[in-house]
Amino acid sequence: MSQFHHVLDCADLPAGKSLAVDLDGLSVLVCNVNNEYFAVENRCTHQGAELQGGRIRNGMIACPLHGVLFDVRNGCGKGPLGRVPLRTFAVQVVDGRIEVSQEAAAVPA
Amino acid sequence: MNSKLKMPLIPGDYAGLQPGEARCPGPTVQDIIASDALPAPEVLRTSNYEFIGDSDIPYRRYTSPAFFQQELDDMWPKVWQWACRLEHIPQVGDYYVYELGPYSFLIVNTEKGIKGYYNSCLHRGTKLRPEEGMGCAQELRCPYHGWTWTLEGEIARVPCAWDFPHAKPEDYRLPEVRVETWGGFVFINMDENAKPLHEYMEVMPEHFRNWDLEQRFTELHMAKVLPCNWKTGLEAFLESYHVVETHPQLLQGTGDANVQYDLYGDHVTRFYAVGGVSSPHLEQPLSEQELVNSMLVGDRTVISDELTVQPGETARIVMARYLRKILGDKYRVDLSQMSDAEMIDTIEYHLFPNMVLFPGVSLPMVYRFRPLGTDVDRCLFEILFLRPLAEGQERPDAPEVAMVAEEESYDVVPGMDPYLAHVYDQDTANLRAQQQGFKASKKKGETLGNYQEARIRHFHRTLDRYLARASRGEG
Repeated sequence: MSQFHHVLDCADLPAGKSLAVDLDGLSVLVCNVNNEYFAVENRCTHQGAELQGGRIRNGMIACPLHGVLFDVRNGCGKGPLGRVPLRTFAVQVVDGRIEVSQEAAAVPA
Repeated sequence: MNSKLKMPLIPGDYAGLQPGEARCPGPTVQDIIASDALPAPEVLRTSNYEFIGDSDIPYRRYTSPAFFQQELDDMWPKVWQWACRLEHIPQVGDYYVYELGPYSFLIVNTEKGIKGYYNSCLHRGTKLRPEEGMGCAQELRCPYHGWTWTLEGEIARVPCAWDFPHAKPEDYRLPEVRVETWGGFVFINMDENAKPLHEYMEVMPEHFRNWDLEQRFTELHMAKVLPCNWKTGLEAFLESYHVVETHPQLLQGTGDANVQYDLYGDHVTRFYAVGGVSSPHLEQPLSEQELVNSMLVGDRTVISDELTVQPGETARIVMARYLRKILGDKYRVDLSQMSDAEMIDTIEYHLFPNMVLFPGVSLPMVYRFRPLGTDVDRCLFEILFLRPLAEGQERPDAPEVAMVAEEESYDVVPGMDPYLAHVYDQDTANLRAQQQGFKASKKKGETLGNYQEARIRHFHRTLDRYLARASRGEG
């Protein structure tokens, strides 16, 4: 059974924004894409930079260092620098509280 | 309406007319729009054609790597070309990578306005951003050794700067390409001495004075790699002569053979195809009510009083009124003053070299055709739908480009109308065979219609003028 941890409240994370949280010692980036919530590892698979602070558009976050784009909904990177996908984490929202687990997010059909 | 029109089936007869003087029998565009309820704007009530020759266009212009290279050296670096829409780079730090053949540019929104840079690191040449598309950054940092520039193009940081005493910051600003904007599009020009964009666009700024393409948003952006030269692709969309054979389903409701073709200056041409009329090719023209019904593909149950042609009305008037309401409601914009012509007609402008745009409301497309890398036999064809943006409405994020594979239908793109997708499928299905046919041909060039294919000839004439200027050293 996956264990969900409360990390943020929805009110703390407006649409288009992301915030890094600590999940058992791992830095996880929680993202709001049009009021749907997603969580990915807060570390670019290209050259290891923190993704926090990157702008999110069309569900893609741009790494602040070299601009590599990742889809925060499924972790997939774009282009030659984004060949390795980001690790994703399952998210659930309970009563306005965002909860994240160590399990991978379900891949949308 | 015209009764069955007599059209000769065998060419080769001037019928006593001067070259370029012959027209399709039946009413002209100007005859048809004269009876509209809401009259067309002045710019649509004029025509501008001249005969500019009838010799064949050599196939080598589409197939020769040497000719392709001449275009890359002498034409593309001299023209204004649109790189992206403003909506691709709405905030400071947003950028768009635009590629054209082997060229690549970074279009960046900065505190000092929109800048265009050659997308290549000044250290050892690596592209600062590896591929086309949108992105954002606080500074421009090369992923290879980390040389970093500010968004404004000043060198900000070089790892181990002690090793580069010979690299003076003033010599290591990112080289810029000229940037100007029009209608929500960002244009670039590699020629530092090029005339301003508005001058380059000749009649277009005036024609588009009341068609504000900046107050539009990109609803759909799709692209397909076509197995043909970029000019082969473009030219499939510059004439309506192909409709009778390629799109027979469109003949009910399109005045295909009486389309008006206009040539302006060096850089602009236009076609004007009226909707809501029968093709002159139809043996039995439709009644006005049948024309309205033919527009309502599929569901006939929507035919109500408002779609009934009343005495004294034409199908055009009824259809324009109906679309004013449907599209006005859908996009929450006031179309009550929009003329019948702007509501239902297909009005297409070509801006040299590779931009095609439709100011109309119901078919609001923009096309672009670009060489891919240095392959003479391939190009990228993009279609954008620019819909009206309601006053005060927040502009949606510009969509990512939906790629359609060669063997796929345009129908795979979410939000694409299947009827229209089928038309594009028909359009691009011929292109591989045409590109191959250029090479298979014993005949050395293509033969163009004097009127209906005049825009293609005009396009080649302008291309030749750019190449000739370079060979005369007027660069």
